Order: sequence, then C-alpha cells, then structure tokens
Amino acid sequence: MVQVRGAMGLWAERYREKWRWDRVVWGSHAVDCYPGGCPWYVFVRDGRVVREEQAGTLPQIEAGVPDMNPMGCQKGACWSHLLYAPERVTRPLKRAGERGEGKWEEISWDQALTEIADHILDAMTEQGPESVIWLGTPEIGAIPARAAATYLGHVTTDGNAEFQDMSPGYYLTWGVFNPVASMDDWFHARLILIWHANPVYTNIHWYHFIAEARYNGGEVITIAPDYSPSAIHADYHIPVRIGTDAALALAMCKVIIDEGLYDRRFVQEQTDLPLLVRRDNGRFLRQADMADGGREDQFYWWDAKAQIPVPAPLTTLALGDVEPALEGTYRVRLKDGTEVEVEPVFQRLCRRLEDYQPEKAAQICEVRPELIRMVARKVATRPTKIFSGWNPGKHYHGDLMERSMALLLALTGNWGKKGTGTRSWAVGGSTAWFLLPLLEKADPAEAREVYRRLIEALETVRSFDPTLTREMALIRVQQELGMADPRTPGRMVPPAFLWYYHFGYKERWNRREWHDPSMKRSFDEYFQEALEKGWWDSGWARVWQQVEPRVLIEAGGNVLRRQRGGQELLLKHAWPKLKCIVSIDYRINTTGLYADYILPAAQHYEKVGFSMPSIHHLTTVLADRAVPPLDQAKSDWEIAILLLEKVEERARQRGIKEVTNRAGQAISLEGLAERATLGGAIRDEDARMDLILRSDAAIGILSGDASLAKLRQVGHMRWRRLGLLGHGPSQAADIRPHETFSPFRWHVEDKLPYATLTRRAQFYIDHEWFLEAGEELPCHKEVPPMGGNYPFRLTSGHNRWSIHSMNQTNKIILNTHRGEPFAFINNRDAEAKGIKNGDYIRIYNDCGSMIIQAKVSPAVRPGQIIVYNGWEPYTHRRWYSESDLEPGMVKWLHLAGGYGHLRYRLLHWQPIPVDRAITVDVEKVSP
Amino acid sequence: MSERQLAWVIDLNKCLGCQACTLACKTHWTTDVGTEHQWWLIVNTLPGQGHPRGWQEMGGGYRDGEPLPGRLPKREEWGQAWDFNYQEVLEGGKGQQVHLLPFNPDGSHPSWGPNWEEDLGAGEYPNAYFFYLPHLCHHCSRPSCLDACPRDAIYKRPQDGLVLIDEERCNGCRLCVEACPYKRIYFNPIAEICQKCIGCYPRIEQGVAPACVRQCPGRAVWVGFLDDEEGAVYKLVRKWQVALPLLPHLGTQPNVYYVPPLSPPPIGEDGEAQWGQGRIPMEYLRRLFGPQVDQALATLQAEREKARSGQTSELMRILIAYRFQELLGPFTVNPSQLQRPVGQNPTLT
Amino acid sequence: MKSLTLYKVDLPLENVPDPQADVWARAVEVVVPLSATPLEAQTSAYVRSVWRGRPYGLTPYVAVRAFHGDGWVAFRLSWPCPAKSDRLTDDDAFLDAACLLFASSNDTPIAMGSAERPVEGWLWRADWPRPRLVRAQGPGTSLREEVASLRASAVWERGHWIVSLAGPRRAEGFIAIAIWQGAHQERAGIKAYSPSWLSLSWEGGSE
Repeated sequence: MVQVRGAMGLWAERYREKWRWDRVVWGSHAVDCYPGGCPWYVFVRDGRVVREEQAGTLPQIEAGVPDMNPMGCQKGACWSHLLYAPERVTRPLKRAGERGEGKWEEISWDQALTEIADHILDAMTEQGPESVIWLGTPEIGAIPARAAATYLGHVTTDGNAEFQDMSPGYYLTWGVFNPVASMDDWFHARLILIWHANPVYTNIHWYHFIAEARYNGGEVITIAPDYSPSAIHADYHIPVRIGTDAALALAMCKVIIDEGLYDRRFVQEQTDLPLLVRRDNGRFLRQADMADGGREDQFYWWDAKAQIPVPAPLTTLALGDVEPALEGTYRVRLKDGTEVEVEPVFQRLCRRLEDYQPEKAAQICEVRPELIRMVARKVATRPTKIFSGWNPGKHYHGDLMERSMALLLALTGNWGKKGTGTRSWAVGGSTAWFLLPLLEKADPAEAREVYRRLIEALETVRSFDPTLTREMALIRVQQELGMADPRTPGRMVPPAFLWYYHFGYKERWNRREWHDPSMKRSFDEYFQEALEKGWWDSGWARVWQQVEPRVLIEAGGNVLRRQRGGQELLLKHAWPKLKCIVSIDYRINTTGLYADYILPAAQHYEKVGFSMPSIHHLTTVLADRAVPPLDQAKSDWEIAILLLEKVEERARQRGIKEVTNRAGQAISLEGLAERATLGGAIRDEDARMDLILRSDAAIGILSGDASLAKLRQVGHMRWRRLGLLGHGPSQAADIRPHETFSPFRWHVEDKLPYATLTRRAQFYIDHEWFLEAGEELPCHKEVPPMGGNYPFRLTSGHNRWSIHSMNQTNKIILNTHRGEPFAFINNRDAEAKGIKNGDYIRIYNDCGSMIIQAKVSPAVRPGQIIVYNGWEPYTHRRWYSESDLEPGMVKWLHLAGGYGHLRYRLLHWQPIPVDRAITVDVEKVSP
Repeated sequence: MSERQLAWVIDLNKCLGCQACTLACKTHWTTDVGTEHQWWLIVNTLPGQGHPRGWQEMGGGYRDGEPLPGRLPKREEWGQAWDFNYQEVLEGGKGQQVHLLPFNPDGSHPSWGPNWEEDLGAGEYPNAYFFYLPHLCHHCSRPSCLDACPRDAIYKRPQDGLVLIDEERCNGCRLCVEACPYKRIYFNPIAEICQKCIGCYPRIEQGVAPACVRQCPGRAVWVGFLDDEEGAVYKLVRKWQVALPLLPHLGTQPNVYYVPPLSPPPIGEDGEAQWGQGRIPMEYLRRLFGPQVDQALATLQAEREKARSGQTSELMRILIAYRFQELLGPFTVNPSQLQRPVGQNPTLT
Repeated sequence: MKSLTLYKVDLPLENVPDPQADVWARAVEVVVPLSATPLEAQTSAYVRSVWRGRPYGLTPYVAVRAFHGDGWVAFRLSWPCPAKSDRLTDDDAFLDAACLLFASSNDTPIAMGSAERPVEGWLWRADWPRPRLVRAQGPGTSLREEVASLRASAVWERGHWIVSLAGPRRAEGFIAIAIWQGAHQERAGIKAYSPSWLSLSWEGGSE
C-alpha cells in the first residue's frame, strides 16, 4: 500500500466516499459477444449495482506470452447503466394498440403466461408444434428461456443463419467453419493480415495481442477498402477494391507457386491438391470409377515414385512412402476398361491461377502487382495469421474469398501451428449445458454416464465404418438427428426454408438480376432440386410447405434489427401469419415494440449464468447474480419453467394430452416442468448452474472441484478439455495447460483426416452445381448488383459501441459518439453530391430507402458508403435502417447438399442471406 | 514542486479509441447532476478539433514563462450531455412517427459532442490518416491552472504531484479553465465549481491503479512515479525517451506522456508504397509532441527491427507488458480485496 | 473619508427590500467612486499577466443609501451596468454581483481583510434569491454561507442595477463595496471596488 501524507480537506472525502461498496460480486455479460467471457467485478452498494470493473485475474498461460488481462471493453464498463435505463422493462406488457405502435398495458405474470400458453396450444393443435418458432439467437443469458421449446417440441431456428455469421468458404475447405486459436496465440504470429475484419472495433478486449505481436517482431497488414480503424496501427494498408479479395488472394497464391515458395509437404499431406481429377468430366477419380463396389469417397494420388495411382488413405494424412505428384497428366484405366486422363488438382489450380497473374489481378483488385508479390513472399516465409471476421461470409461470393484465403494459408503451411490460422467464433466447454435435457436426475454422475453413452454411440457409428474419425462420427450423428427426438441437444432447423415460404424471401431470391450471371438456371430451379433430392430433409426444409408459423418467440434477440432483408419484409410477410409474438428481454427493443407481449427478463447482473464459453479463452466465466431482478423481472430459466407449467395447466384444462409433430413423434403435455427441472431439483437457477458445473467436472471439462460455490470464489475456471459438444470437436486439437491454443493440430501433427468429403482440406469441390458454376476451384467473381444499378456500394460491420443492438441505446455510450445513426462517405464523393459532414442523406436502392446523418471522411474508399450495424431500427427515421436496403440474397450454391460435408448440421452448412456491398445511391436531404 | 511525481504513459500505437478508459472514469466520478457533461478523460480522433471543439486554439499555458491568455469554451463547444426521448418512442403510442434522438438540455439537436469527429481523420484517400489520443488532466509540474486560481483552491499534492482542485475553496471563477492549455477542466454549473481528473486518488491511496490504467483493455496506459528508475514509466520517458509530453512548448511540464503513433507508409502517385515513412505528416506530429518526436519514432522502429531479427529489446519488452501488473506501477492492489463499506467515514456527516 | 448616514425608519424588515420603494427617497445618497482592483493586488498570477492592458473593473461608481430599523439594516446600491447578466446561460457567462463588506476599523485591509482583521460581507448576485454572507481573511479567502436572515431585491432598468440588501443590524462602522459586471467576464478579483472605507453614521438610535 502506498503511504499518502496529509489530509486534503473535507471535499476530498467526498470522492473517497464515492468509491465505496458493500459487496463485490463476480459478473460477466452473458451476451452474444465474441469471444466475450470477460471476468468483471460488480460493485453493489445499497442494494444497487453502482459500477463494474474488469477483474484482471486471468492467469498467464504460456511463459513469454502476455496474459489476457484486463479483459473487457467500454460496453462492459457501463453495463450496469442498462440495469436502470429507460429502455429497461420490469413488468409483463401486453400490446394495447397496433403492433409497433408503442401502446402498452401492464398485466400480471399469470395473465401473460395464460394468454401465451393458449396461443401456443392453439398453434400446436391447429398447425402442429412446428408452428411455434423460437428464434435461435445466441444471447447466452437468454438461452435458458428456450428450454421451453425443447420440451414442447417447438422449432428453434439455426443460430448461424439467424445471426448470419458463417464462413461458407472455410466450411467448404475444412468441413468446419470455425477453427479458433486462443487469443494469446496471436502473439506468436509474425505476420497478421487483418482482412475482412475490424478488430479495433470488434475485438477490443484482445486487440492488444496484435499490438504486442508487432512489438514481438511481427508485422501487421490491413486489407480493407477503407482506411479502417484497424488499419491505423498496421505496417501497411492495402486499399483493395470492394469485393475483389479473392483475386488478391489468388494472385498471392500465384506468386507463391511461381516462385516455388509453397510448402510442398504441407500441400501434399494436408490438402486435396494432389488428388487426381478426371480430365473428361472434371470429377475426382473415385474408387467407384475403378472397381465395382468401390467407395465414392476413396480418392487417389499419383505416386511419383511408383508411377501408379495410389488410394489416398482414408484414415491418415500421412504420406507414408508415397510421393504424391502435384503436376503431370496421367492415364488410368477405369472399371469398364476405358482409359481416362487424370491430373492432380494442383495442376488444375495452376491453370486457374493463370488468370490471377499479379498484373492481371491488379486490374481487378486495384492493388499494385509489386505489393501483391511483396505480401505473398512475406506470407510464404513466416508464421501468418489471417484475422478474418464474418465479413467475407456476408459477401455474395464470400465463399470464394474464404476459399482463396484458405488456399493462401495452405500453400504456405499456415495452420495447425502456433501463430497461424484464421479467426472465427466457436463455443465449447460447458458440455453439460447441452446435456441437461438428456438427464433424468440432477446427478453429475448421470451426466457422465450420458456423456459416456454418447461416446459409445460414436464408437458404434465407427464400428460400421472404421475409417471415420470420432469427429466424423459425431458429425454423422448430428446430421442424422435432425428429425429425431426433440430433446436432442441444441436441435435447430435451418431457417432459410421457413423464410422462403413464409417470410417473403421467395420473391427476393428469385430476382435473377440480383444474382451472379454464372447462375445458369433460376433460383427456384435450384431450390426445388435441392428439396426434391432431399438434401435438406434433416433440416425440416419441407415442413414449411405444410406448416404455417403461428407463434414467434424471441428471447434475448432482436430479429427486426437483425434480419438481412429488413424489418419491412418481415412485417409485411411473416407478421400477419403470426397470431402471437413474444419478446423475452430485459429491455424494449424494436422486436419488442412489434410484439404482442413482452416478458421482463432479469438482466445479466440479476441472474446466474456464464458468459460465452469461447475457445478464445477456454474458460468458464461466472456471470453471477449481484442483485435480485428488479421489480417483477424474472430469470430466463424461471420464465421457461413458468411457461411450461402454464402450458401444462392450460392443456389439462383444455383436455389436450399430447400433440404429434411432423416426424410422427408424440409430444406429451404432461409433466413438462417436472422433466425440465429434473423433478424440481434444478428449479432454482443456482441449483441448475451448480449441476452444470459439477457435471462438467464429472465429464472432465473442468477440474474435479468445480461447483457454483467454487466458481463464486474464483470467478473463472480454465477448461481441461474441449468436450464433444458445441464447437469443441471442430478445433481438432487438445488443450495444453501451459500453451496457447492452436486448432487443427490433430491434422497437422497427428495426421488425422479432416471431416470433408476428401478427408483433406478441400479446394476442389466437384459437386455438380459447383462444376456448373465454374467454382470447383476458388476464383474471383464480381459482386452482383444486389439492389439495382446504383453507383455506390454499401458495406458494413459491427460497430464499436454495442453488441449488436444491445448498448446501442445505452445513454452513456450514445454520448460518446453522435448519439444517432450515421453513414461514412468519402469526402470527394460527398463534395460531388453537395453533402457536408453532419448533413442528412438518403441512401436508397430498389429495395428501400433510409435517411441518416453523414460523416464525411477521406478514410472511406470513393464509391463506398459504410453504415456500421447494430442500430435499433427505432433510432432511424421511420425506423428504416440499412437492413431495409439489403435484399438478403443467398447464393444458390449454398443450397447444395448430398455431397460429403455439404449436408446440414446444427450451426453449419446452410444458406444464409448476405448483406455486404449492395448497390445504393445517396442524396442530400433537407434536415 | 512536489516531492514525487506520478506520470502516465499512453502508447498511441496500442490505443484503440474504444473509450473504455473514458467510461471507467465516467462511471467512477462524473455521474452526478452537474457533471453529466464532464469527461475527465476522453479519447479523440486526431487530427480533429477535439473536446472542447478547437481546444488547441483556445490559449492558456505559458510562453517564455509568461501566462498566455486563454478563453473559455462555450457549452456548445464542449458538447452537452444529451438526453433521449425513450419514453416517447417506447411507450408514447406514436409508432414510427417518432424515433430515438439526442437532445441538448435546451431541447435543441446536438451539433457537437465529446467525440464528434470519431474516425474522420485527415488527408486524401488512399492516404487518409488518423489516430486516437486519450486526453486527461496532465497533472503538470508547472500547472497553469494552479497559477491562475485566485483562491489557492488548486494545489499539487507533495506525495504524488497530483494536481487537485479543492472543491470547498473553489468558487467556480473558471480562471483555471482559461489558463489550462489542454482545456481539461470543466465547470459544474449546478455546484458552480470547477472539476477535473483527480488522478483517482481514492484508488491510489489504497494501492489500486487509476481506473483509466487498470481498465484499459488495450494495455496502452502505464502509471508510476517518474523517479522510479526501475519502473516502466521512467524507462519509457527518461531512459528510452519514446514517451513525449503533449504540446510541450506550452510550458506547463505535463506528466501525461505519449508514445507517438507510427503509421503505414503513404501510397505514392505511382501507386507504390513509400516505405520508410509514416503517412501522418511529421510536421503535424512535431506540432503535437515537439521536435523529439522524430527520434522517438526512429527509436521505436529501430527496436522493432531488432525484435524482428530475433534480438531482445528492453523497450519492446516494456511496451508488450507481458504481465498486466507491469502497467500498474506500484498500484497493484486488486480492488475486490478491499473492504470499503459505505457510511464508515466519520469525517462526513 | 466619506460617511454614509443611516436614518432609522419604523418599518418591519419584510417591507424593506424593494429598491424602488418611496422610502429610499428619504435616505441620503452617497456616490462612491470605484476603480478596478489593481493588478498587483490580484491573487492570480494568470490575471496579473493576462489582464494587463485589458480593461476591467468597468463600473465607475456606486450610489449608496441606507436605513436601519429595529434590529436590521438595509442598503440600496445602484450602479451603471449597460449589459445585464443575471443568468448562468453558458460556461463563459458570469453574473452581475455586488459585495458589501463590513469592517470595524478603517485600517482593515480593504481587499477582503486579513488574518488579523477578518471581515464579513453581504454578497449579492443577480441570479440568487437572497444574498450570501461572506467571511474573509484576505484576498482569495472568502467563504460563502447561505443565511436565511439576509434578503435582497433588485431591478435592472435603463442600464442600471438598483439593489437593496437587508439583514441583521451590523456592529461594524465601515463598509466597502465591490461590483462585478458579468458581461465583461468580471469575477473573483476582476472587479471594481471602492478604494477606501466608507464610514457609517447611524442616526436615530445607534445601538
């Protein structure tokens, strides 16, 4: 303690008095924030939360690598202001006017639950349980509310489509979309390409690892159309033309191959580039081509030593004695005796890359050829990470961009090692959280038993095909489970089909002129073919032909803010079909304003839970209850149980015992709450949390002494392993206690195959549709004119001041920017349009129009308009936001299925609307 | 002069402009009536007019030892605390006829705020440039505010050199606001006193680092005593001389030091990078940080080069700050370990 | 030394403050010339330097009248003030104000007394409902206190303030006056003041 001499007088005591508290509680923000999981101290005084401060207690993991403290951001630093904010809701509200009008009647919990339960029962009996739709939003603190959906057999929409965060190109390549390194692993990178990301806004809590990597001898290059806030600390900014990143990446690949800088061994071993492709039909050479009864998923190398085609092993990536050729054209004899020419994918790739010779690519991406060469050489010669966010996946051809970026990493051996790879989002750990619905009693030993049975089931699957890795077996199980028991952990359905039939997207997606010209047939033809072939049956795609949505429940989310395609589309098409819309939230958001009922939930400091269990920090972080819920607010878990009890009660009164879903399963309406609470044992949220933690300990995720009491002492606990549920297995790596975490080590070190069709990082997709589109290999395609023929491109990204719309109306934060939405426009463009900084402008296209304040900046690329997302629609004039300008197109190829890893499973491959680089124009409007 | 001097070092190459320090400060000290518009610490995008708008042109400080005249910013130039029409939008029954908007206390629409020019920057595409500058009271060794106060209400604590305003003595005459060349003192129109950063002395006294330091997720801020030769602050300021005072020519001997910003090279007419130089004009940086800025940036680059070639660099090691505690100087106490019950202060009634 | 005669009137204190009341016509008016508080007397080094050559203390004189009654005393001050400033409209706004300082002897330092000779005064400000009591022991030391027993009433017309101040009868025999014109950013030591004490001459019942 520092000794301070001398008193300063009475006034000085007042400030000392301000910094006092009665209690300090571990808190965190159980929201959809990646990686989230920041441990905070929450200070309670006179029964109110007065402040919070980062705990700063995370341990240093690896010697010589900075620790993760003080993990947190400005939003977390004033989260308590949301507790007592004007947008807080603490009593059940029932709509008293038109939807969206903002007229409310305060009603009792009993009335609210009774009316909602009746709506649910009406829908379940008239349309089936599928007609009650819970939106799969990821606010982790609100997820317990969706327990009700599990027991009632309702539908939960797939989160990754719902929040439109997906990396289709990575998925095509690796069979997973989200390999994630721990935050501190960024320190090991020698070159960081910030590409399609703006971590200065979006990763405030761990950006320091990038800054520190720079001081550790690393370099940072930011690739973005605008001189983004994440470019200012870079060693170089590459001002790429919007939507041409694939061309840039492929040009670098071209340089690396031409200059012989590629990692030949890595390419041979880890990728499909040595696999043989038939020249006659562009398809991989398969065992089924070579022999009767041959496997469709057995592929071949050309062994340069023996000069024969050799089956690429299914069970290992190890090359053995084989020297797979990367070049050359060879002849092989098929089972019918004919001979065909085959060549390695690599050779086809080299031909394709002829189009991306740097001078040619420069014409596309407007990056100087010398610069392309320079960056390519750097990538090839040092541990490189690509800090890509969700941005490419929100581009129409984002898959091509990501495949090209992954190719760049593949050629240079840049994954599966420290300081390499890409970035994404992944939840893992806390496996017991997913297992709760499968338990019969509140006993950690039972959780361990259920987990053991799951592993057993995987072994059973593997016994049918011993070539499967455990990860592949797990994926098989997940893919098969779509139609099965509604209690399947985290069961969800891809919402694209619901949207197509009921949310007004059919017309949008069939706007031919807004698609890529390489789409040979109409969208509907592809759509129908995909359905007819049953590619999406496990995702209940066809159910929506028969079922009309009746009840929509949004817990902790804000679909009218979120939905690409815009609130107007939903209000016009979906809302009239919905007899009952419920918002379960601690605040009134735009969806709440358009709901029939708002059920007041506890805020994150008023309930017990944990924040996003993210691979980024591999830690379970307690979000404890610092104060009881305000007024009549209730925890999400309690709301779920009350709703189940009420449905049960009303069903009994109405004489409804069970309903049957479209899979023919009976859903009993008796003993719902009894089952959900394991006989009442976990009705209390503390007991539920304690069971989760003890079960995670029993499973071996957390150390053996894990419990709620223990976590309340220490605040956070590091995982020991990732577990089999969530995105744990996607990482294909083990946690090492004293090292940074790098995914894909099982592949790179242990030579375990990838969960793709070819069991290798797959750059060649010989699905018929991909061949038809010319996208069997990565390439560049121009962004289609989504929105019409207008000169500007509207881009976006997460903003600095909110987690989606949460905090976007936090008064204290609003005061740190302009307090209202704005669009960035280049100063020259603005001048040409007569627009000055602070003027109001109209941004419009064939889809819609919005009015917004202009911020004029030379950091914006000419022809670009940036509107960072997250603004509540109700902060916009007439509530029209940039979403209303976004057609919400999906790329037809993302309906492809029936092909290796191109099948639906929870939180993975599925069509997801895009929003980046839509076409718009702007004009000045009078204020 | 005080016996010891606390100083802050802020690495502008680590600062993200996230305002976590701003909010940490705000939630600690300026939530009461009359202080809503006060941001004792704010991060602004430079180049820019800042907060208050155009503060660099408002005078104050010294030239050749003589005080320079300053002028008082108007409320509009500061930016006022906005309120919003939540009630009207959320439960007013007006639907889409109304939307959430900020209002000044007089009901007018804001034309300025504490961070109005966020991410605007200067230059021309593709050579736009900007950086973030966290701005708090500099706790100067020659505080012009102290010299200006006619009532001896401002003093410098001998034990740590914090410059504090005695709010009992202060009559709100605002001469200190005029005299401060950094315009880091606010007027509280309700209490009619002047207020500013207190260096988090209640925390310091308990061995806890100031909120802006301990809550900076960018790990961009160090605090410590300038005479502690083993401390990071001393090493960055005195030994390596990469941390520089802001507007040193104004003569107040400020104690907030900035590691000046590196920046990507500009792109020439021919489209090629002009390696070896940053895109932020050196003239601009010299105006902000004085002529030493050239050497400071050269030192940073040279030490980065050493790290790149695998050599160890003490400077890089300090700037990395492997352990969070390295940023906190001697103030490493964890606040949760303190018992600070309310109402236990006998001197307050 | 000028002297101010205070007649006794038979009025309750509550009726006193109206500065336009007829009763004031019966009081003797003394016009006190004012001058700017000299730079060398300024306690702010900043003011000493920056206000050099800049006009301040712009009020040329104050006209003073006084009464006393049963346990009370009232003063009426009027002075030219071309631009009224009676609201704190902005952060650079200052308020018109006047201070009436009492001293027991005329060798009390007129700049707010000294440690040995502390002074008290009544401070009127254009936006306050009532004056405040000030206590000082030298320049820059004044402390303000709200006291219920002080009252004031003021009008501004035709470029002049007319202010009446009343409170409990004072024992001191001397007064001094300071005037601040807010529109000219006058505050603290930047003011006009009476360079010498004005002695009080109590008529009709000195107590």
